[in-house]
Amino acid sequence: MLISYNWLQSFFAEKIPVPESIKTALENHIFEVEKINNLASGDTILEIDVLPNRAGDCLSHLGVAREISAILNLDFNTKNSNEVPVDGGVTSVQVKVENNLCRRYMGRRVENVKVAPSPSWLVEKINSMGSKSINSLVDLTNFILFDIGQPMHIFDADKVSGAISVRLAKDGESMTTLDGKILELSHEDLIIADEKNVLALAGVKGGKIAEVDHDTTNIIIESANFDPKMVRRSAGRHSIRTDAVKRFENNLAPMFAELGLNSLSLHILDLLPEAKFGPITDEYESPQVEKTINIDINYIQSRLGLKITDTDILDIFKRLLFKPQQTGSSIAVVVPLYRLDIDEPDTLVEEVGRLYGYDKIPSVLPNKNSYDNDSKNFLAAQKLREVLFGLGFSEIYGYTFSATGSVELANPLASDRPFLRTNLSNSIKEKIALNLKSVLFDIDSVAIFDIGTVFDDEKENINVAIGIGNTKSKFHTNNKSIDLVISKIKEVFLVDVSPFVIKGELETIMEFPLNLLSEVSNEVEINLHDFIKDSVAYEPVSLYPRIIRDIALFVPKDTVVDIVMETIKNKAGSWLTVGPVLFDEFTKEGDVKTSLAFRLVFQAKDKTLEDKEINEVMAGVYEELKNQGWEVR
Amino acid sequence: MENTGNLGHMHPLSQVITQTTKIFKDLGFVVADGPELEDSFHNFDALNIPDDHPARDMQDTFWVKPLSSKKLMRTHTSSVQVRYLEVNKDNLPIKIVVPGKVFRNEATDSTHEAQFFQIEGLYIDKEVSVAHLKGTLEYFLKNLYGSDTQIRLRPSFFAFVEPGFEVDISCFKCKGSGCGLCKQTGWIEVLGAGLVHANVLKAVGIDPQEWQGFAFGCGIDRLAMMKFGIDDIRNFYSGDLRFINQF
Repeated sequence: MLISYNWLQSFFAEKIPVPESIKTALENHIFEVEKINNLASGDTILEIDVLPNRAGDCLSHLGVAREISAILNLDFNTKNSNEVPVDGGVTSVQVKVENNLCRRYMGRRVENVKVAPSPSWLVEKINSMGSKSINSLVDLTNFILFDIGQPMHIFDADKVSGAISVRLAKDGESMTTLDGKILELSHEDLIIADEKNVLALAGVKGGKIAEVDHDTTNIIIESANFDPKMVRRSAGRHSIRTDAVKRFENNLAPMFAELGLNSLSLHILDLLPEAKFGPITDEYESPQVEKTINIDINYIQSRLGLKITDTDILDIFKRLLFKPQQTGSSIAVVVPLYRLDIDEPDTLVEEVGRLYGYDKIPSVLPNKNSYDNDSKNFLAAQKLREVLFGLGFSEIYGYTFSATGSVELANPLASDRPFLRTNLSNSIKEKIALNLKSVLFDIDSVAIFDIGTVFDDEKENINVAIGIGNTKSKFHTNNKSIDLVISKIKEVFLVDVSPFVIKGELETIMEFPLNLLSEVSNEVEINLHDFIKDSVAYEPVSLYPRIIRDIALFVPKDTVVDIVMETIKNKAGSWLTVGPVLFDEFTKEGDVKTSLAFRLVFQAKDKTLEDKEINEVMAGVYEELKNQGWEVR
Repeated sequence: MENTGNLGHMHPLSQVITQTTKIFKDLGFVVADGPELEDSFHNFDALNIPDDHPARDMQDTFWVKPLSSKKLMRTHTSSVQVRYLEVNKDNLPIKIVVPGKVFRNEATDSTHEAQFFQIEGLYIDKEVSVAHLKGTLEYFLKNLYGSDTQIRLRPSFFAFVEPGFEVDISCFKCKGSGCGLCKQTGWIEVLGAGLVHANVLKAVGIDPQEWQGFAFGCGIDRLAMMKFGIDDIRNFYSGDLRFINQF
C-alpha cells in the first residue's frame, strides 16, 4: 500500500516525525516499509507492506494514521463528521438485497452534478497513489478508497432503469466491465442489477452500462459491503484483481460503508455546491455489534513472558482506541467496529506485545528436555553420508520434478517436467555425464550420491542413489569403488545392497529405499564434523568452456617441484582455473635430469577463450621456464 | 596418477541442516519428518489457512492431478507440525525440528527456486511464552552466526501463529553498520516465528487451555547462500561438482 506522508499528516494536528522515523516506528510495531520515495511535488511516499490480518482496516491512510497514533501516542484527528443537507425533492434509491452475501448496501441519489476535471489538490492526491486523474467524480471515489479504505461506486442515475437489486446472476447473463471486458456470469456470481441490466459484479468491478460520462448530471452513489469469500471466488473466476477485491476479500468491516458514503457526499458538495443530495438508503440486515473480549493480566504476562504492569496494558488499549474496563486482574476490552481481526484473547496479547515493544521481552531458554528420538530416516541418512564421504562420494540434490512419472502436477512450472520423479538414478546418470565433462584426466571417475524422495502412484519413499562413472570403459571395469560401498554398508548397517547394483559400461548405479538402513540404532555415532566448512572462498562456476594444456619439461634432479609449479602459475595469468597439476614425474636411472608433466585448465568468467589467447599465455610460460634454465620438451 | 582428494564433499545444504539440527539438539529438539506430497488439510486447513482465504496467496501452490484429490506439494514444512501432533497429542510435551524440501510455484531466478529446503521448529508444553521463543532463537542464531549476533523480533503474520514475528539478525558482515548484504539496514531477515495458534491445537484435538507452544520456520537455502556468499540458488540443484566440491 502506498502511503503519502502529506496525506498521513492531514490526520494529525501536530507535526508528525520525518518519514524515516515513521518507517522505523511502523517496522518495529506493525508493518514493514519496503521503500521511501521522494516525489517532485515535495511529498514522500512510503511503500508499506500491510499484513493480511490487517488488510481489512489498514489498506488506507486512515488505518495507517490510526497505527501511527497508537505507536507514537499522537493525538489523532477524526476528520469532519458532518453530513450533507438532504434535499426533499430528490428521491431515495430503491434497493432490494436478495442475498445475504451482500452484508450492507448503502445508496444515495445526487442530482445536478457536473463531471469536470479534478481540482489540483485532488489530481495531486490521485497521482501520489500512482494513478491517473480521470474526472472529478471518479477521482473522488478513488480518493475515498485510499483515504478510508472503502470501495465506492458511482452509477449514472439516468442510465439505471428502476430499482436496484443485489442478487445472484442467472446462468447465461453477461455484463461488460468499465474496461470493456465481457463477463459470462453464473449463479455463483453476486451482481448489482437494475430492472433490465447487470450494472456491476458485486465487490469486484463496475459495468459499462451505467458508466458516468461527461453528460452525466444525476448519479447514484453505492457504498456497500460483501462477503469476503464470495468476492474472492468471483474475482478468481473472472481473473479480475481490483483495489476493491483486495479490501473486500480481507474482510473490510461494514461500518466503513457509512463512513465512505458520508465522506464522498461531503467532498461532492465541496466540489459542486449546486449538487442536491437525496436521503440515504441503508440495507443492513445484521448490523455490526461491538465485541467485548475478556482477558486476564496474568495471561498477557505469561504469554509474552514479560512483567508488564496493568497501567501499561490499559494505556496500550486506550492508544488503540479500544475501551478497557478493569476488574481486579481481569480486563474487559471493547473492540472498535473496524477491528474485525481482534477476535480472541491471543489477538489482544499481540496488540499489547507489539505496541509495548518486542525488544523489551527478555530472552529465556526453556528446559533442555528431550521427548523423543530423532527420526530413523534422518539418522540413517546422516550415517550414510558419513560413510559415503569417507569413500570419496560427493552429495548432490536433484530436482523432484521430472519428464516422466506416474504422479502429475496440475499446474507445472515447466511443461517439460510435469511429473514427480519415480527414481533418483536417472538424474544421477545425467549428473555423472555432466561431471565427466569437467574431469581433469580420462582416468578420473565421478562418484556421487543423492538422498531424496521419489513418488509412485502418490506413495512416496525416500531413496538413496549412489553412482560412479568414467569416461572410458577400460577405466570403469577396474573401478572397485562400488564394491567398497557395498562392503562398508554391510559393515555399518548390516544390510546387503548388492542386489540393487546396475552395472553399465561407463557407469554403475545402485538405488534402494533408505528405510533398508533405518534400523540403525539411536545410539549410532555420527561424525560429520570434518565435512562441514566454516568458511569457503566461493567462486561461481564459469559458464564458458575450458581449454586444457599440458606442459612437460626437464629440470635438474634436485629441483623442488613446488618451485616449478609456482613459476608456471605466476606466468599463467588469471584465466588459469585449475592447476598446474603434476601428473608425471620420472628420473631415468643415473640421469641428472628429472622429467615433469603438468596439466593446466584455462577458463574465463566472462567469455569463451580462444586458442590463440592461450597460445600467447603458454608462450610466456615457456619463455620463463627457459629463463630458469629448464628444458621444455 | 594418484587419486588425490579421497574424501567426498557434503552438499552445502546438508552442511547447514546438520549444523542447525545439532544446535537444536543441544536444546532437546529431535528431528522429525513428513511427506512432501501433502493434502490441503495438513498444509493449509489445519494450520488455520482455510479455503478461499487471502493467506493462501502468500504461497503459490503446486497442485497434483486430479484437483479433486486436494493433494499438493507441501509449501512449507509446517505441515509436519500437524502430522507430528496428530500422532503425539497424548504424548505432550514435544520438541521437534523438521528439515525438509518444500515447493513453491514461482518463476525461478537467482534467488527463487520452485523447490528449496526449510527447517521448522515446534515446541509444545504447559507454559510457553514469547520470551522462550526469543531465548531459543537467540541461542540458535548466536551458535550459527557467532556469539556477537543480536536478534530482533518484528510483528508479522502467519495464519498458524498468534502473535507472529519476523526475526532479524544483526548483519554478520558489517556488524550492523550497514552494507550491501543487509541493504544498509544493519539487519537481515532470517526466519518467521510465533506462538502456536489455538486453532492449530484445536484442529488436532489438543486443548489450548492446557497446552501452548511456539513454532518457527526458516529457509535453509538462504542461510547457506548468506553463509558462503553463494550468488545463485539454482547452484544447489545443479549436481555440478565444480560447485559442490568447493564446500
